[in-house]
Amino acid sequence: MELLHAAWWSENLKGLWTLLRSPQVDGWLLIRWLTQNLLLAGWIFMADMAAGLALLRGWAPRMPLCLKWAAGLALGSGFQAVALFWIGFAGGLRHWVPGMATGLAGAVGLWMLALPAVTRKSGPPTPAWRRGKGSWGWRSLALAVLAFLVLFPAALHVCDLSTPVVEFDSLLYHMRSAQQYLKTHSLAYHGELRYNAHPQLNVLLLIRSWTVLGDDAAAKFQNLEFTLMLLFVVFYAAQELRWTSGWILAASFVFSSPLLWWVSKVEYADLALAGYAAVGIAALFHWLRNGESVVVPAGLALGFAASVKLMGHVVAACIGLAFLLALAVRRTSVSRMARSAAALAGLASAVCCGWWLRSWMHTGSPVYPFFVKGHPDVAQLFHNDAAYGLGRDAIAFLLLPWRMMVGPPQAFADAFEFGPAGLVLVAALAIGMVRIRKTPPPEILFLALIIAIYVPVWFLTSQVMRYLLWLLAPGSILLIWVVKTVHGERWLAPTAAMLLTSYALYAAVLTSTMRRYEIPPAVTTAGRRQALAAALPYYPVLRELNRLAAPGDKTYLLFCEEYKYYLDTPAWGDWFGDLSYRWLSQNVSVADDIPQKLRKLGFRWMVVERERARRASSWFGKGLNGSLLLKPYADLPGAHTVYSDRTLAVFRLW
Amino acid sequence: MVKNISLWWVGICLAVLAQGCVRERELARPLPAPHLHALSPRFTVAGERFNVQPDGVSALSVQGANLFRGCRVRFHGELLETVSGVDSRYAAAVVPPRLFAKPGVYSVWVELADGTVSNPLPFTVLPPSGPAPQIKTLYPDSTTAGQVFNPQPRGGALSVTGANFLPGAVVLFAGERLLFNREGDCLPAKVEFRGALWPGELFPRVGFIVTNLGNLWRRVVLRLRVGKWSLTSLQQRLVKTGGG
Repeated sequence: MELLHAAWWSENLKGLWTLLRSPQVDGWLLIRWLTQNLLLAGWIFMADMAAGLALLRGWAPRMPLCLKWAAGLALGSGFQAVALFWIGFAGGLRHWVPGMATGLAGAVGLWMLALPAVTRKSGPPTPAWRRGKGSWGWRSLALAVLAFLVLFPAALHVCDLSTPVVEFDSLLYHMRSAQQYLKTHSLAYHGELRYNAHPQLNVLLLIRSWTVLGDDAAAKFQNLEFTLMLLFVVFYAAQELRWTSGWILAASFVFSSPLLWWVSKVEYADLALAGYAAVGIAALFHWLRNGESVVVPAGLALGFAASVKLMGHVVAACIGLAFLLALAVRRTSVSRMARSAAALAGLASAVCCGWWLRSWMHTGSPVYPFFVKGHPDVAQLFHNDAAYGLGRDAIAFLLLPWRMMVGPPQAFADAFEFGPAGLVLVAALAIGMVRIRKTPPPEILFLALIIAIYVPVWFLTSQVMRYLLWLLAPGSILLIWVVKTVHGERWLAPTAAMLLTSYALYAAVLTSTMRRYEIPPAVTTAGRRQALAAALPYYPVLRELNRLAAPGDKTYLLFCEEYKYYLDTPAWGDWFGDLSYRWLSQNVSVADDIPQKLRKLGFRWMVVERERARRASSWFGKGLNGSLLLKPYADLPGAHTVYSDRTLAVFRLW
Repeated sequence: MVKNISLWWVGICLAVLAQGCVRERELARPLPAPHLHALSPRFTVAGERFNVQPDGVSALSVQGANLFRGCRVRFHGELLETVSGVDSRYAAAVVPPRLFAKPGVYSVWVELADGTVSNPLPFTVLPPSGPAPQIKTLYPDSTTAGQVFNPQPRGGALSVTGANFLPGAVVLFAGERLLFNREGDCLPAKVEFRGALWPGELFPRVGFIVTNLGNLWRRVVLRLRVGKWSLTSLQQRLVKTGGG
């Protein structure tokens, strides 16, 4: 394992240092720029917190402090996103709107918080914050070591957040949608984008960071807010379980996941899902444990989680179901259970309804492409998902915790492994089952049920490893409960925390965007473009195409659908949606007829990525394999070669 | 609560101040411009691959400064697939055959992603056949065997004047390629070659050959007179024993 190899560490740390000392990097400018972005992002988060806390004052005044902070962030940011959605739905999503809306929400929130406390329904927060007792004798030393261990990955993480948009899904879905919405000032469905009809709550928050911070690369600073939500939930759990130092174990458990580090460094949706789901789970956990109804923040948080992506619907449903089962264990009356379920579902639906309406208006289905009769993409989606994972039998299921750590990650459709969290949790649960002889309380059962319901669903449908990320938060609460209950604070917890923290440090370096793409943190426009050219070999070619093409020229991207983000011209070509590869393959007897077919439809440019086209040549029958399209440096009859190398070609079709 | 709100306002003010922290003109600052020192190779014969890579493509290497990762070599204006070194001092590009199919002198330069370009350097594509090189004079045209003539730091210097010496022309002396003066490399009329003459039995029937690259069948041969030569003791022994 690389974690234990000194050569791996020295090589990578030396590489990172070399990048930072490159002539491309102006150290002082970088520090100022990062500080500015952190301050501006902090301003956004504070505005969210103010708005969220103001809302909580009326809805859930007795929450413990950390849960209140987590819920404040979730509600504030979630409401911002919903407001931006409706503004965009009405066609008013201009560049200045997100910043203005955030400022307004923050100001109103502050004003409401400054009102006299007579509106409070009850007294001060639950004193769980003060009740917690630390059990480590050497807590101070551990905190000092942790602070040291945190500083380096934190600095690296902030540098990574300033790298340009390079990840596949970011280019294809999230940032591409954000780009389209900003360009059109609206959230209108566009067939050029893949599944743009899906809920994309986090995309609106990326837009906010983009416009306020003034740079698409800086949109990733939004991820810090989701990370804060996770941290506050971890703190809350430690306090609630009366083990203040337990947060170190819980946090090291959460951050031991390379996948989590990865999604927190890029513009993926899974971190937002994990953040909102964590807040929803923590609120319901608090409800079950203390009997205080926090239905509004819980329902809204689940609604925000469901609005992040379609998988979020499944997540919210699993959490809701687990909560109802836990209520049943708690011997709650059926009528109260029904009321709770209706309230949670109603609130979550109120958040999601805008997305459903939008999708239904533009595609005829609230959850496009599902529920569209005979839509070819649905079968293709299921076909693709069925290919992920290393089997669906009992042995594969039992081996899952091990494979979560060793991978191979590509088998689970991701760039990195989940990490040791799965194994640690299984070990903790095994210890708990042996050592704890009593039935766990309903709130713990609730957490276990969430995992027990969701994992089989995930296992049998789409084994994409990052879809499990949101389970880290409930897993961490479960872990500290087990360790606390078996009295493992003295030896078990420090040992596990040290191992997990080492892994977290390794994961922080392993997933570093700077390390992976060998690009320095970019501040200037020129530096960002250079970093892009280094990370994405096709970027200079697309700039050349942008230079040559007229603004309205239509471009077809053959097996390089994510290139659209950096193309200035309208572009089509994707596995799904309008004018897909399937459409292109129809009525083409010889692949070399493709330019002619495209020309007839008014396309003026065609870009082909040869290697991916070669792998997908079966889509075009026999024609594509022998085609000049795939032959390096070859010219295509009927088209002018603008650029051609071993992997990529750009043809002018007129 | 009032204290908390004050802290928030302080934070907000700091954030607003920070908005102006990095100025627009700082963000628009270009990267250090790339500079090219040399190409390798600098010439080829039309249609003839050079610096052939394992997959059969021709590679052109450029040396210089600020050749950052992600830079691209342009060959006569065309963008090439390029790989840069970690130290930003060299880059290598794959040159498609169609770009060196016709003779001519083509400009090669490096472009950064923001459009900043380096100085251009010429890359010559020689015709597969053309005017034969002609040698008019040779100085010195004779020497004593074993004696370095016209001494220079790296050997003796031989001056050759003539015509049609194309870039890449080589001087063969007794079948061995002589090191030539870089400054004279591209001069069409006069080229200076440097080389130490070696003594002995090699010379009596040897020709002095100038040949242009890709033009091997049009070589011009001048006889070189080598006078007053003598054998070293070792050479005498070799002659006697037949080299055995």
